[in-house]
Amino acid sequence: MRRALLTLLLLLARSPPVAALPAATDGSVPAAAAGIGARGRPLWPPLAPPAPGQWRGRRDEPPLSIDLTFHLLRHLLLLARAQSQRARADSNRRILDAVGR
Amino acid sequence: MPSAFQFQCHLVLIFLAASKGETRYLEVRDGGEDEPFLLLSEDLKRELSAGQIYRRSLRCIDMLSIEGQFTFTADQPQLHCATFFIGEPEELITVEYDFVNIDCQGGDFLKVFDGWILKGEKFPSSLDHPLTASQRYVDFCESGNIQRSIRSSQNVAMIFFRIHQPGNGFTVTIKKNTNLFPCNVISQTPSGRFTMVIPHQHRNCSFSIIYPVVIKISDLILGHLNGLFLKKPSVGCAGVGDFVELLGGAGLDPSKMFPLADLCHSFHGSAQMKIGCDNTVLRMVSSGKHINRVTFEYHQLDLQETEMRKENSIEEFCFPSI
Repeated sequence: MRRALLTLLLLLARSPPVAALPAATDGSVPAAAAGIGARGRPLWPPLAPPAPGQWRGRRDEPPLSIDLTFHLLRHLLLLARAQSQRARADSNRRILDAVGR
Repeated sequence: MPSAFQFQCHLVLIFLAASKGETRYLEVRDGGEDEPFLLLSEDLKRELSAGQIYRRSLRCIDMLSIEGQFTFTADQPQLHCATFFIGEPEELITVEYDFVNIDCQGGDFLKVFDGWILKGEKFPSSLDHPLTASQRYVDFCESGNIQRSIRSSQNVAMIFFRIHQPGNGFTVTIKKNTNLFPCNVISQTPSGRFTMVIPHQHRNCSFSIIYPVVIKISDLILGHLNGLFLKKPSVGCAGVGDFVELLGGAGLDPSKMFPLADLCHSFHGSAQMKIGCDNTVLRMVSSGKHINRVTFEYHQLDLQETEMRKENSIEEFCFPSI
């Protein structure tokens, strides 16, 4: 009796091996391998296919940026300020030329 | 003469003078002192206005601090380009698309970013900006037909672009608008003076100086409520209440910088600090209950000072000292 009970327990504890399933191209799991129970209800619901273009969501991408050192940034600032001063000087010269006519 | 009759006579005289237009003459004179264009003829005004628009071509990596019209034309595939815009602290930047010829379907893009972003670090930080990180990027390829004019929230902005096909490009017009209460600012110069005011606003404001500097705070008012000084100073600091903090670091994002000092109470006088970091930020945290104000000046640290201090400095904190 004990042997029968032990055998029954061992049989129940051993689950059948899960075979590697080829993934469908759309990400869905084949229904036959989805663990469909005896009454036809799936044990695990099939994966919902993702909407087109959402695989690489924006939150996965790093923010658009540029790699510049502070040294180069300061150099660009210096050039921009010099250019601004030249433009202002040119504008003042034209105004004074116009006033002087 | 009775005083009431005198008063009536004065009123009549004022009315007669006003009806002759003499007051208008005075207004014109006052206007002429401030605006030189009013002294010029209409023809000259038109000529000068037409020639006033500054124009030049853009480089792949460029910086602009002036209004005008700027054109980029690719002479070869340009895949990693950016233009930085910066104004005075009290200015906002507006970017207008005049002409865009890029191949969005072919991988080209043209995006405006509200702020500056360098090596993934943003200014203003995400904590101090009203928009989310994704909202700060405005993509021409997605919204160019709808939004052809984009205004920044502070004195800095930038554009990113990628153009594969030689000959393609774009033209933008940069304009500046006044910001009455500047909040987040990057200084154009290594020296200057500024007063930051946060009037009853629940926001945090940063002033960034991308140089090693000596910063001197001369006036700090925290918790000044409608002209009345509160008996108790603002509760703070330790991240609570209204306060000012000094930050130092090697990146652009204030939220990733090291706190070097914080000021929790109002004072008049001078508090000076030498900060040898690549970026120095003065940040004011405001609850919105008070009108907070801080006045400070700064100038670049002498190169000799930075070299001397390195021997005794804690490198990762950029040798702060008071």
